Amino acid sequence: MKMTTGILGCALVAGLMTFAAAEAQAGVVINNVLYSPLKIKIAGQYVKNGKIAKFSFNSKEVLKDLGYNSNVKLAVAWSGDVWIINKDATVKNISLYPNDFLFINFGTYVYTYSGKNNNTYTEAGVSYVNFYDNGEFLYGTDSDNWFETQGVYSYKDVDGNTNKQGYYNDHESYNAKALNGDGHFIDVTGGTVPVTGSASYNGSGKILD
Amino acid sequence: MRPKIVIAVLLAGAAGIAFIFFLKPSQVGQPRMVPAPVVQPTASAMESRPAPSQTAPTQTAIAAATPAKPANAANIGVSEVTGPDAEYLQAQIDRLEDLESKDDDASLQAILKELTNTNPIIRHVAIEATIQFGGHTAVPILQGLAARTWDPQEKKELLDAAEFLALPTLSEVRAENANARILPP
Repeated sequence: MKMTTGILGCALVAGLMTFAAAEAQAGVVINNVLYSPLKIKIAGQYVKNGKIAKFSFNSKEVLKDLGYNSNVKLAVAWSGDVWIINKDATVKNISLYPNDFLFINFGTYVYTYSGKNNNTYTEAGVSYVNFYDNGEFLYGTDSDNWFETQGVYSYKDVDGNTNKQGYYNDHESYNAKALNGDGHFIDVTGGTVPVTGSASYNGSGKILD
Repeated sequence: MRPKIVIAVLLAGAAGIAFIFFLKPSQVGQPRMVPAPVVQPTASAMESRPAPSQTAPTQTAIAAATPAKPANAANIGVSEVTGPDAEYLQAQIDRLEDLESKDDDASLQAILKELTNTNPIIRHVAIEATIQFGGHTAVPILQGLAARTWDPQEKKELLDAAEFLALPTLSEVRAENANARILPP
């Protein structure tokens, strides 16, 4: 009878595992670092023929302005640095001196831990999302195109349990829904223009602990 | 007697596993969406816009599709992708994020198809992917879907996306290089 119970138990466990295996993963993990795709959506205002007009500037436009074509994307690493990556490899860190093209900085913030074993970190505050197409923000405004924005953001980092192989599921999300600031776009205006927009990233992947 | 019980239990277990297996999403990447008939965007919606930089409007799809009912995609985001469908959802999210970085019309059409997916998370990601893909082709499609979406938040998300994509891009303004001057503070 014990044997029967054991077999029945095995069948049940197998059935349950079929459901449990569908936990979300993927994202872009390169060399054990999670890269979360960054989505930028900026609208600038200017005067055209006596009327206020707008133009758009998204992540793909940022990449175009930096000289990249399709099949690469912007992504944010755990450190907060913005990278250009392709499907499975990093191309360039564009938040690192002397290549300060695009970065997200964090100002005043509050945070809390929650969840099982405090595995969920939640943060809210003010962030700055800046772009300079010559990569030299330290030296001022030599960029042909640049923008400097700020706005309230929310950030969440959820770490799953480490499995027997030593991996845990890492999930990070950042959302700044209402950025505003100013920018300069050489072929649009001779000076600075107001810009509004949003920035967000969201990614998950298996990380070796 | 005992071997018979053991065999019976084994068979029942195997049948159970097989049943559970068939209940799961059949294949990653297999679309689960409302059928989306192919239509042309209206000419009027495109007239006032600069020429699309990436795709031809005449090859566009979807607008007439009936939006799926479950809503609140804007609030759902993609943060907590768990549960029995998680693998399918994550694969779809990854696929959409790859597609948005491309420039070809087939990639845009693949993104637009997911605007009518029955899953609100996929629809939300598809709207984001449409924005990041860029171009103006999707504008009338987004507007059409917004007109038939009953959920106010998803409707707003669709309209906001349409409004953003209707704007000329920086590249287009550069090419145009019209009489622009500084907007006074």
